[in-house]
Amino acid sequence: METAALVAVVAIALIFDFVNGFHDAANSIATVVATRVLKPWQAVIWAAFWNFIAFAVLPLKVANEIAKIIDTNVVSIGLVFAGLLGAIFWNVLTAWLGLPSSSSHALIGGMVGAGIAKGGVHVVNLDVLQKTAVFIVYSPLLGLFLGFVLVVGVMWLVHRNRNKRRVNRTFRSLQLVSAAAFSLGHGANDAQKTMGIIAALLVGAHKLDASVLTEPDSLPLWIVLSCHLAIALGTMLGGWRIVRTMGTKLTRLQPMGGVCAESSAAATLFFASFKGIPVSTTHTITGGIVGVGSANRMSAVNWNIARRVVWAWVFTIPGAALVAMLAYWVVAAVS
Amino acid sequence: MDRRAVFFVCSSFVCLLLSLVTPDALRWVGYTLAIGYAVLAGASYLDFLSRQRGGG
Repeated sequence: METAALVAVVAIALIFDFVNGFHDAANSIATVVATRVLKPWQAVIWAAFWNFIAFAVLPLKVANEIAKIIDTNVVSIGLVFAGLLGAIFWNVLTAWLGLPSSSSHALIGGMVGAGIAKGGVHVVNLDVLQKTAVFIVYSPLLGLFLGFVLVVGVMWLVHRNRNKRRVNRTFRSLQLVSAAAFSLGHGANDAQKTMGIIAALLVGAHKLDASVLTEPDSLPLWIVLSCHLAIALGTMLGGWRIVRTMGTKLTRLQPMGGVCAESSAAATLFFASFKGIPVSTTHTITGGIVGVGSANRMSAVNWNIARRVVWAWVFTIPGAALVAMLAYWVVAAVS
Repeated sequence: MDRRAVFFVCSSFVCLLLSLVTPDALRWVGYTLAIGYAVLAGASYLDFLSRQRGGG
């Protein structure tokens, strides 16, 4: 019975990863579709491929951090189930509203909420939570800063080139590289969050040795591959409402702007992955797009959309935590 | 008023405040961003002044 429940919760975690791909990975292709460099179906295959092979390129430090967010001594099947339920509910709600909130923070909020409901605040690893919380603000600001500096630098370099068509063509080609880099960063940072949850669940159920949580890159290969496969499949089915919000409503992008926005977001994601910081891909690409848009003029950015995005960020962790707490209490009462 | 410079000053201030609650090992990120945004605010304001003087 316990094994069946364990398998079911691992399956739900992978479904969450799939939904994460569906919900977040659309950001990978938003700019490349908005600038018409690739058709939507081509862009999703391109992004899914780079999502999948990210495990071979970047370290698994984020997975280790996420696995430690709740004391593994209190992690149980019911707790992880409730945490995932909170995160999935929040993701579906924000996707339905067309808001680019963060699946990553929904997952963290869900786990923290379920953890608090079961064991109180002291079971939460406040170091990981603190690092995640400050980077909710840092990651878009870093993306924005890099996006602005990059686009100003590039404009300065190309402004003497009178052949605008050639410049445009060059940047259309470069967008394939920047979209790939962003998808790589997205695959690495986001798939690892689910890996961390599955690892914590298996350690909590004594099916896996606790040493895998302290030694980077020591997670079983089946966990790594299944998480990357799930997020890649989610990417291929895409969340088109969010593509529209990110790619066209926030600010209008040309190929040069698209390259700069994606490159700055990719750099932020690589940095976070190497440091083991769980960040939101949505936050970083939003920062990059706003940075590029504001380099032209502030009015180029749709600040109403940007404001809605910020509110979605603020409410994600507490919202998902609240739903997960309720879910845990229901699960505990039923079982 | 240069709204972009104001935005950058606010961002610099936010990063500086946030560095107070950032784990020690990552505090440099807050300081670097705060300095970076302050530089961008200055550059943006100078750009704004030059546009004003140039009539555009």
